[in-house]
Amino acid sequence: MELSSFFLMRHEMALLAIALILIIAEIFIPKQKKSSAVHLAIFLFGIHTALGFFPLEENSLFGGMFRTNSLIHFFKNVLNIGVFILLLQSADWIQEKIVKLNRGTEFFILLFFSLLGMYFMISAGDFLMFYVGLELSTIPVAALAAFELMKRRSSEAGIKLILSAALASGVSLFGISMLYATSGSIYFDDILVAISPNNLTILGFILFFAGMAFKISLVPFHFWTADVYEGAPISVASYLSVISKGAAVFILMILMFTVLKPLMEVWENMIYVVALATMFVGNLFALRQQNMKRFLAFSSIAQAGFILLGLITGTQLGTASVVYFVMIYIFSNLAAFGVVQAISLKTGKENIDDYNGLYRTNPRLSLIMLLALFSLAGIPPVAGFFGKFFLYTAAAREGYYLLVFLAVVNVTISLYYYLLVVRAMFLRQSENPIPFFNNKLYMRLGLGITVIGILVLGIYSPLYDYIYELSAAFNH
Amino acid sequence: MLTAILLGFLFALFLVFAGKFFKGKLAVVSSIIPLSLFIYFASFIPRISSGEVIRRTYEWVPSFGVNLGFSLDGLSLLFSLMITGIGFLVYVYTSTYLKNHQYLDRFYAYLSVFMGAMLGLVLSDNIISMFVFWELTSISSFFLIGFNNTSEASRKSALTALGITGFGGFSLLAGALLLGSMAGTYSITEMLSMKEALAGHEFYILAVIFIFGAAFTKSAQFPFHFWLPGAMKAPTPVSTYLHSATMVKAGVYLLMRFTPVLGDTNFWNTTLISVGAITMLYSAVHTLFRTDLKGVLAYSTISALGILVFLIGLGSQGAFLAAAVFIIVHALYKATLFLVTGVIDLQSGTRNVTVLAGLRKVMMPVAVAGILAAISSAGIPPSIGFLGKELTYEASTHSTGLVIVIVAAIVLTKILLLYAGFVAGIKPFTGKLPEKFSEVKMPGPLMWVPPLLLAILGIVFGIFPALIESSLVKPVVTALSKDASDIHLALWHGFNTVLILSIITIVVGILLYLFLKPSEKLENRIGKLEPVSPESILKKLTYFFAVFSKFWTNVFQNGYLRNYVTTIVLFLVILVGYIFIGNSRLVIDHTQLSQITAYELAVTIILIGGVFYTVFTRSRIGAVAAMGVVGLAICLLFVFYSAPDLAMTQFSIDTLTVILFVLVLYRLPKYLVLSDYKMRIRDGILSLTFGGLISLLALQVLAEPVNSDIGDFYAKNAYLMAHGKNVVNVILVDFRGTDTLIEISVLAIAAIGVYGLLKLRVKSSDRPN
Repeated sequence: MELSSFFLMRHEMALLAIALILIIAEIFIPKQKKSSAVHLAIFLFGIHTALGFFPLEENSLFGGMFRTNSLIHFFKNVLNIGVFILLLQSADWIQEKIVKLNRGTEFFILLFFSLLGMYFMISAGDFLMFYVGLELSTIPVAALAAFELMKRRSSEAGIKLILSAALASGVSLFGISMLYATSGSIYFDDILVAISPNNLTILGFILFFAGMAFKISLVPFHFWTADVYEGAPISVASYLSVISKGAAVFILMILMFTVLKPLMEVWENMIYVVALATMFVGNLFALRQQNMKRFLAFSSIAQAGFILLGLITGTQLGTASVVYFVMIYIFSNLAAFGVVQAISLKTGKENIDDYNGLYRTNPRLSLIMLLALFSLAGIPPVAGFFGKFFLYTAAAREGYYLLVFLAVVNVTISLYYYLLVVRAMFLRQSENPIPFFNNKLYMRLGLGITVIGILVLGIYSPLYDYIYELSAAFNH
Repeated sequence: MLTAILLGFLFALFLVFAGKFFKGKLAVVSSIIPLSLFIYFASFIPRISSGEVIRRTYEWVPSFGVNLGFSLDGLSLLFSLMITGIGFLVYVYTSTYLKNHQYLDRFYAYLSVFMGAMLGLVLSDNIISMFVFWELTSISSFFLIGFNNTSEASRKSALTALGITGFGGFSLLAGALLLGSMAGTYSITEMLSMKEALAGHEFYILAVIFIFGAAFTKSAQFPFHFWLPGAMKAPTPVSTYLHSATMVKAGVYLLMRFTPVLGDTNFWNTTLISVGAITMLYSAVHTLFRTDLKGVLAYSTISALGILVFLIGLGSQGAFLAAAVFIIVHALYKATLFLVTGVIDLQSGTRNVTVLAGLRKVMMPVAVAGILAAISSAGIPPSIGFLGKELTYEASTHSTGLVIVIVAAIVLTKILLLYAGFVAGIKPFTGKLPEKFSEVKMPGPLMWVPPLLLAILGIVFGIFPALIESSLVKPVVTALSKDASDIHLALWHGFNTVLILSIITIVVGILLYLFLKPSEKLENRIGKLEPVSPESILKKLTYFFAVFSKFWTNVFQNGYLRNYVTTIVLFLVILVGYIFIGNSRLVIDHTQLSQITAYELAVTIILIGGVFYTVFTRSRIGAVAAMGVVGLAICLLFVFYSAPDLAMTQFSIDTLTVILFVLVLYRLPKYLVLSDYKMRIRDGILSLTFGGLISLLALQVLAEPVNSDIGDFYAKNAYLMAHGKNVVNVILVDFRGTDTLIEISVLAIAAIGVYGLLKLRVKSSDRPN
């Protein structure tokens, strides 16, 4: 093995290096200047994100444990952009609240390690690497969820997350061990050859899927979502809802479309049911939420249901639609969470009613929120519509008319509650509205990028065609 | 063509940046945009009337077959001219109407977006891009309706309108997707050639229902009509432009566009005739009970839309001709009446018809416009309205089926509409001028010229129907039914049934106007029926839906992790159990198993005892200790089955876990009993089932043929490659040496963690509150 082939792990090595640099910086930066660590972290990660775009060859390492190809590479870049936006949006919060507690650097280190876990997870070539990545991505997030030690809700979120996650990954591991029992290998390539839809394999797959369903918050593994989002710091909820979910969807899709493809007859039906349940439960429960974070939690559950529309197809079109949707979803949801973050930081208000009359006092923020909500609801011409549209088309092309129809019904339900927020911001009046405020540079940048994403990604179609080409890698 | 559509959006974008300089009178300059677009589209008239269809296609997402395809035929041209023409007048009118409004620039921006979207909608040849523009019109109209967002009613109706039309939009999307997969293309032109195949398709009815859902919501057909009167809270230019001339006709446009593709079936025609007839009668009757001028106009607009849907449903060439003419008629007189109402409202401060009278004395040109429009709306010759009415009657008398019912319905509607037109166009100007209106002033010319112009056009087209015959009307009929050669428009058709019907209409209508005065008493009377109106029913449904959702949210999402876990485990039990019991025969070959020895039995008994103690004890520390016993018993079992390394790892992990547990639990408050007897039994059953299933699964692994040759590999190679005789040792330190190293590191890290916990002293100031 040549030393240069290690550069296949360029993303991982760079991120690890950043995390280590931050640990060292934490030691050497004097206590009064801790806020400079925030700038350092954002700067380093910005460079990392930019460098990530350099092309990467397609190959594998360590006898196939670690692999990469252009779609994986692309997806890591998408995750990078998402995390970068997230960092920009969280910067003010960290500066104002966390640095005081002398824990600013810790936040970045935990976050980066979790991201590192996701890199490994989506690059995994066998179940061992996958599982290690999964755990590495989950455990730091539990610590992050409980990051605001002074708030009981935050601690509750942390403990709920870690306990649910432990249950899920235990179940998942049990499923993996059964897959190993029947196929005699943990390498994806070997399993693909050996797998057959016998009873034990199916059961193994179901248990494995249950663990992943937890990560993506599919019904009935979604319960933790709302409680954790509500209690955790907004940045962490945002991270869970976009980055963590996105990465889990990606790897689950790759596994289902390649290794577990022979079981398609089984998972087709299962995903059908889970997709419907997830969409309906997410939407029904979102209707009556008063807290913005809980509201976004249920909306993100419903969105996960839509993603399954692409997952059920098992085709190249499905892969491309899912990746495209996840990318747009990252931008839209980050925009929504960004606005919630900005308002919560300035005023501490997080309820929908608090947003009454926001348009009069903060027109820009309300317009960004409007774009985000329209994009989440899938109203053209913002990007979210195209994301959903491609999913519909992919599913309809495989003949799932009823499912697509019910998805459209769900979009209509979701429109109702997204409009509730729009109504609060634009149409309602409040005696004591959120006063006007200006955001700092980082937050403005963070919101600006999402707005560009929401507006441009939908209309700029070559991107979709590009993803479609890359998707050929996993659909033979 | 793309530029023409984008022009509106670009202008809106321009206003975002330059809006501050765009106040007051300067706003009138912006009307150049619709005017130039109008001229641009008008220049196509000769080519279109000669039967040409102009197409432009821009590739967009080729891998999905979604292209920006635009086509301009007679139908699109008529709508484009209406959108830009009336748009021009509305732009001009608004500059005075909202002269000193703080957000005038925003208003123009919304209006321009709307115009662009509307043009895109009527020019799109691709259903998906049509849907995109369709939704854009809903959104921009949401902002326009809610423009007076200081008023509660206006905000509420903006949301209702967006909700209803948004719902319709998704219905269109569903229809588009379905049609796309039925036809294999999203291009409407390409679908034309597949008419038979589509009509015979198993999903035909479903696709038509979706298209109807979109059209009926947008065009305010019964029972979705109620958003339109609400939307009249918008500033009058918006009502004129969106809710009478253009946007509400988008549904009608959609039906006309799909007539050649999906039309001419029994289902299509019957549904359209019934829905159209119900709508036109229902809302025409409603006009009798309104005292707000705009309310009268709103219901008469819905009624007119009903007539259009009804005519499309009749499906004959004559009906299409009548529809084409009636669209022009309605656009001309209804826009006029709205603009006139706006003037009255702005100058006199009221829209109540019961008090308005005699305004001709103070604003003669406006009165002329109003009266001319009323004549056209009543269908009195020589207006173009007369022509429209004649053609409608002609089409109805030549229909098939229940001709008498159809004719009666349309005549009754027309009588009531005549009344509505007179109330809106004549009543405010005739009679004695009340004292309080004597101070009312004449508005600026930018406000009275547009309605007057439209009203005069209505008469001119009536006297010279040739002006619109081949340029506008014929191409529309061609687009709908392929054959429009024998069309000839004229005021005088000779003395026949239709003329008699016309005379009845006019006489009865005028009598009705003379004897029935609009009054609040009547309005209150219909208010009593409110609880059974579609609007209240929908509101109740929404309310119940919300209550239902709240109930379920509280049941499931109650915040207790234990309940969440219960649900998840229950789900897994059902799913795994279903598959397991459904498919497998668990046979275990006893002969293959080794004998059970006494010490194995003893360890197992200790293990089970430990489990039971853990479950039933009331002491946390006791439970942890018992768990430790279980762990150690498992270690012993590993040792018995010759896996000392595994036993070793398990032993150290187990010990660490117990220590950690003790350290954490030590700080917790006293043991609380959170469950009652029933809950414990439920949980017990669930855990037993789950545990049982997992055990069965483990046994199943034994029954499956396992193709593992790893053991053989190590046995063979331990001595050859690593020169060690103890295979386990060789694996630990040689083959998987790195793993062992990392295992040790993990243990070390865990130990550091434990040490940290031991040393942890939480200051009281650091405790959460």
